[in-house]
Amino acid sequence: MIITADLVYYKPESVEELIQCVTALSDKGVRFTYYSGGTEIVSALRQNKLQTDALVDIKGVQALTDITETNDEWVIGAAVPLNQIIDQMPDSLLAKVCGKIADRTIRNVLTIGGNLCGRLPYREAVLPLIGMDVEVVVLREGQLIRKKLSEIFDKRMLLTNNALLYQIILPKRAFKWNFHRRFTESIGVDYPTVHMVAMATENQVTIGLSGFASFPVYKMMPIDEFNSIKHSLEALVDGLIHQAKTDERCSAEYRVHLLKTALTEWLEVVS
Amino acid sequence: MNEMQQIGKSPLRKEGPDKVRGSIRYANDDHSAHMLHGALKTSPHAYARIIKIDYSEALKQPGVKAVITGEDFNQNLGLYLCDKPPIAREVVRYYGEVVAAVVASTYRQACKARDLIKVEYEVLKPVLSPVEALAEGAPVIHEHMADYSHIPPIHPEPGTNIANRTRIRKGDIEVGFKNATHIIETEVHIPPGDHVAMEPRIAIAEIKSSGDILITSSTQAPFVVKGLMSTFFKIDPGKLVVKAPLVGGGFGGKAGIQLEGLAYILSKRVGGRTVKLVNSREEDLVTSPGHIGLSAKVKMGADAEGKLTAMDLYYAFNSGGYADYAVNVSRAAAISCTGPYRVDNVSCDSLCVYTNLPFATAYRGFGHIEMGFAIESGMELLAKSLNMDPAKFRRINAIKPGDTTPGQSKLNRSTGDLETCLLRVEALLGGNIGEVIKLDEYRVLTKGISGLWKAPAMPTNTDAGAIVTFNADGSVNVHTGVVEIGQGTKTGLAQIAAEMFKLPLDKIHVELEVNTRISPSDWATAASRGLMMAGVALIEACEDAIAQFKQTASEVLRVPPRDLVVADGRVFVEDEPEHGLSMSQIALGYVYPNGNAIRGQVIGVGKYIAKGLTDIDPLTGEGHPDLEWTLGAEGVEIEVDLRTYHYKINKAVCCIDVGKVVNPEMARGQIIGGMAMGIGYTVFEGFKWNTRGQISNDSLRDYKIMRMTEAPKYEVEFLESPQYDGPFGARGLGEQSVIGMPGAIANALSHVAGTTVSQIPITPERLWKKAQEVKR
Repeated sequence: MIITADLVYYKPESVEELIQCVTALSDKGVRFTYYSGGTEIVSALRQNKLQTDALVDIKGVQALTDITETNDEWVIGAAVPLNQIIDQMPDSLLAKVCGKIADRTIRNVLTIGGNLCGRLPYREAVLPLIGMDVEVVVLREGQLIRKKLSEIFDKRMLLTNNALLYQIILPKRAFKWNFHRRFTESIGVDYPTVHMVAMATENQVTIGLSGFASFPVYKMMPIDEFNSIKHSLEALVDGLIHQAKTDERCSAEYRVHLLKTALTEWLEVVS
Repeated sequence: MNEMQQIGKSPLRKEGPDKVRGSIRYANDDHSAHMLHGALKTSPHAYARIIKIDYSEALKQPGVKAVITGEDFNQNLGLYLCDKPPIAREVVRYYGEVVAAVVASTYRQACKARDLIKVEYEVLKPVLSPVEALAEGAPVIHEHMADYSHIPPIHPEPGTNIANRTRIRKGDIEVGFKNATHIIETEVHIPPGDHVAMEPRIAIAEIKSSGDILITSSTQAPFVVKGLMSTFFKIDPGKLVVKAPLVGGGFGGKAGIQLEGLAYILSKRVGGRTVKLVNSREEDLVTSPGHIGLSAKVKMGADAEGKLTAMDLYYAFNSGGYADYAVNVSRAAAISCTGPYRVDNVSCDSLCVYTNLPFATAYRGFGHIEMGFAIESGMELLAKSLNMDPAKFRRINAIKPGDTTPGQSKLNRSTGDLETCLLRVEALLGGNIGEVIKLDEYRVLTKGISGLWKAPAMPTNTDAGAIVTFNADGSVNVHTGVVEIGQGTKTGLAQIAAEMFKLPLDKIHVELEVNTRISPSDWATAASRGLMMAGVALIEACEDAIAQFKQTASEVLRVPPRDLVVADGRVFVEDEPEHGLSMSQIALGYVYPNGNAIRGQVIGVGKYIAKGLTDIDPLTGEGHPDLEWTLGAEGVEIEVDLRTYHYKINKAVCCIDVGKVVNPEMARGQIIGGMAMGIGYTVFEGFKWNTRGQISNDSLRDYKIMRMTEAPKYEVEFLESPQYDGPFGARGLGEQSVIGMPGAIANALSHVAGTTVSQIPITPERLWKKAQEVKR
């Protein structure tokens, strides 16, 4: 199998060129796809599962491949490879979550934007980001717009009209506690059957799950509510259990068991 | 006996430097402008009638030279049973089966055209397990089985889905079970899966105007390809030239006839122009054959002392849509059906069953890994029932010289020492086999053990040959028909020649590629017999050459040949070493000082053919099809997390009796490679499919094989009970270490689960489910 589609490949070298390129393609009615790491796109094209006429490679734009650090936050370009996040921000929860995805070699190519915006339903990088209620920058119709990630993410990224996830703004914040546990069917380098990320700020507790349902799911509650139910596993999983899916890797029943195991482990850490 | 200079040492592979620097040219590494390229259209259905194929659009595409469907070729091919059309005709029998092929100037053009072929199917309900296939009223997947030609040792049953039935009847199991104080019954299930060799399959075919047909293929068996193509396509065998360059892993998957026949048909269609056919990874996984599956029932009995009295065995092998090597796999499993244990009363029915899943060919272990899983599960249960240590139970039943196999073939003194292998494995694991040791609140440690054996399953006239020629400096060129598939046989053969001539290894030049017009005939590089057979032939060729050197030197030096010695590049008088000639003076003919030349070049010839082999009786399985048995034992130590039943294999150990270790590092590599493959087979691999029989893990994102991070600590020990008719006493070892892994792993985990673990792959979820069953 080979990529038989007749594709045109563009690699703009600045934001201005990127905007021009996208505008020109839209005006001509050409279907295009943003190309970041490319691993998903290459697989999909091989199997004729992606219909597109052009690839716009975003890795030529510096802002998209940089991680910039200030006193209060990290600004991460959408085309930053996961290894760069892991190596530059090793103590962050995001780095720890990303470090479980695929393996080191592939993580040289996997990008955070690709993980969040791709077609695969796991989107594991979103788990800590939603929990931290981060903001992102989106490039839409030539404008850079700052928004809450939660406004444009529900099960998957909801970017319309050729909008592009541009940067992720990660606040440097201390957590009360954070925890993550990732299970796979057998071998470690695989999609997750259950990836649980749990974190608490001063006010809120968030439990995020990837691989458990057909898309990432969350349970958020004020910290007081959490403290009142934290001794009850059943109360904690309430609202989540019914979303467990069965697929070729894992049954819903076992997913629920893995979730309870992860929660139990987390609660031991918390107390 | 003098200490050996080469045998028992571990020189680097001959092709090693080129391999690691990337300068080996595998079959797909040569491109030429005149080559045309094929692309395959495959079926998305597991079982369907082909109603119509419309390739009119495909034919119009740029670069396209031809499109072929099953209508264009009205014949079946097959190794033992002719059941398979190269392109599906009228019906497709598995997901991924080829329904059409396109030839174009470039691969991309061929693929683009292929995507425009429209196929109309009438989808049928697929049969997805041997149990289903054998049930009353099951659809008959091969309706015309009665018309299929086959070799006499295969017994298909038309009107059913049974491609072959092999029977073993030894002693009397009724008496055997009557004398048993303990009887157990269990069953196991293994899905079909794939070899996942690093190099996908490729075949290149060209028909010359002279009538010569040139085939280049990533094959383990160039002479099998030559023989089958000659028979089926009615080609004069002298006109067929099959070339096998270095192969990037075969594991049995490349030991039959694969893409070669199809490439030839395509070439013929375009007037004999060179056509290259390469599998994509997905095609290599599913379209080309993989390994067989098994559903087995075993019943075993032992007396109060723990001696086995009877085994009643039922093996239903899952061959998929076609039978290929699988009919011989099921037969081989019957011949070895008891595992390496002495059992006087045996009944075995081993069936090769068609289903609508990807079809099976040879795989490392050739039925023994599947059969081994069934037997070792049974042995573990029986040991438990007897309240006996699992290692001890196997030791007291270990087969010995003088005992008979299930086919009543007597084991001769070239039999390995299984008892010691089991003792060593037990020691390497630190004893306590069967005990579950608590490590902390959540984790336990468990150990499992298994015995293994295998004899090559091959035709009674399996043969090998060797030719040695010389260079002006007296160095040696070695020609055999063995393919280098990564197993290092070429280097082993070089060591044998170096030992025979008493020359350093760098004076031995082994031809790495095989060409059926030049190389001596060799059955196939499979069945763990390459070094053994070609090695024996090579020793004979070296002896032949040495005799020629001595004959010439005798004339020139005026001494009898018996007083001469060949060593260190010279031929000299044993008790007067200064009185001699260099090999270089003789190798290409000796020239006297006055110019007279005598004797000509030295060419050494050697051959090997399996001795005394017979087919087996169709009713009892009695016979002597087994050339030599390699016996061994394996064990694992596994850590299990009781919260989720995720587990890690810490240690995998093997003690195997190989007769003679020719190259210790390579032998160790082979054993570890087999263990790694066996672990992958047991823990991660196997096809998955939906209710329509469509394979869901037909890409490497989803078909998982073992990685370095999952590798346990390996420990390997060799015993050397000589193989009297092997080269320097060596016997085969390429496959065996894969065989004991499922049994050892499943046995270890069953102690933790509290019940037999009978389904492969053993995922944590399956283990957890078993444990839940026990708790209820």
